[in-house]
Amino acid sequence: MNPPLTIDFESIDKLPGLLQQLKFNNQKNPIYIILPTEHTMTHVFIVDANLTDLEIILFLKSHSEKFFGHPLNKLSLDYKTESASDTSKQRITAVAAHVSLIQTIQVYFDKEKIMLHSISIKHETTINLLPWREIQRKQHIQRRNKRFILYGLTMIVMLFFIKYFLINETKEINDTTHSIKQKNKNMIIPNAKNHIALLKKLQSVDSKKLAAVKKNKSSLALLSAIANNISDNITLNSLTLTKKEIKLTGVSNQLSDIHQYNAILQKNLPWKNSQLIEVHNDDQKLSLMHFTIEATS
Amino acid sequence: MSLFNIYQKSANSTLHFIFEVTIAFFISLFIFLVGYFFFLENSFNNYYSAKREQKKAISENNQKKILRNADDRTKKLLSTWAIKNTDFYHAMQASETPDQLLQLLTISAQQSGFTIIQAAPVVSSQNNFQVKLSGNYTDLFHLIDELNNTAWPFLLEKLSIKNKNQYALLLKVNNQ
Repeated sequence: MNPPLTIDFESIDKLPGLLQQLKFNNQKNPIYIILPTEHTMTHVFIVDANLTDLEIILFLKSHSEKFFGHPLNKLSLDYKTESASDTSKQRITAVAAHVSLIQTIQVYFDKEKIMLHSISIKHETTINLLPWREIQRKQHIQRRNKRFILYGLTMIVMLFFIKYFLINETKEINDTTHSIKQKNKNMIIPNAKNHIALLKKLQSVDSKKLAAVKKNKSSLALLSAIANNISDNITLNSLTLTKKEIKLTGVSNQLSDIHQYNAILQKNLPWKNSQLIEVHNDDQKLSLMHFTIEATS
Repeated sequence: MSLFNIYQKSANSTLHFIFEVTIAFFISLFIFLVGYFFFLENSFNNYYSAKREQKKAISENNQKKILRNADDRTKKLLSTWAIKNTDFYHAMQASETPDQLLQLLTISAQQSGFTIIQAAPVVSSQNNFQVKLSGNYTDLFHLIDELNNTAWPFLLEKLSIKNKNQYALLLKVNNQ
């Protein structure tokens, strides 16, 4: 590394030659320009200690004409802060130079493509009259914008990931569904309804069959009782049997036999309310008596 | 050099951070909404549609499994019926018509000793049969026994004896 180099020059016109020389010597160290005091203006003032950097610079810019006698667009400004005796205040040393001078220096450096670190004044090396605040603000905004772009890109990448995930998942689900559907298609249950219908029919008809057999047997018992208890003197002419009623008509030559037969039926029929409802003599043969017996369930 | 750091450490850094987070949030929201409606909506719809389809297929599969198990149980019960009541099972399995039932009835009547005068299904109800028979009183007992031994539930609804050895029977087959 080359040792630090200090060059004093009287007029700004000599700067291009010096810069060419520096370039020729391949100087890599940071370069500082210190302006002579006759090219700068200084103003000291006291402000509130709570003021931020931005507020101070705005204050300074709005008061440039009052402090330095030139409008803001003609000046390059910078300041340094010092603590005042009162802790609630701060002492500001503002320095200004003509913007044309600063721009001229910058143009020379740009032309030679040499980086200029700062333009300060004697005994105040922390002052930098280059527009570093604007550059810093611009850089800050650029960095922030880059971050916003990064957020955006991240979101877009996420959207792609989500889309990829959804497509993948959908494909997987469709494959599974297809395989389930295939299984469903192969799972044939022939005659399931017929089997159920047949089983129901078997159960239903079986119970009905049992009921029918029981009722038929009951009818047979009635018919048996009617036939088995009849005496020799009685002749039955008709018989009607329904679910609720039996009606018998007959003929006999003995009234007592008719009554006896009715009494036996009352006793032996499964339906106990047997009644002799009618007896009359035959119109032609008076010794014969016609009768009607009814029994209900 | 520390001068350059003054701006960065200013009291407004928190506000800058909040501002940046807010903007980042709105950028994310905007991109997400735009991305959703122009880029993801179809994929989401396809995804949910596929899910619904899968749910339907699974449900159908479960129903078929339940049906298959139920059918297995039914077949087992049917085979028990077939073993224990072979004739009854086969009679129920065959689809009977009123004509076939009437045929069975007339055959039973003849086997019981009756002569058939008339036999026909009742017009209003195809499972009711009106039969006029000629024979002995005891043949009635044979006929009822015979019918009780068939697979079908023949029920004697009405018996009418108006003339000697002539029997009018109304028989009902309740097989529904």
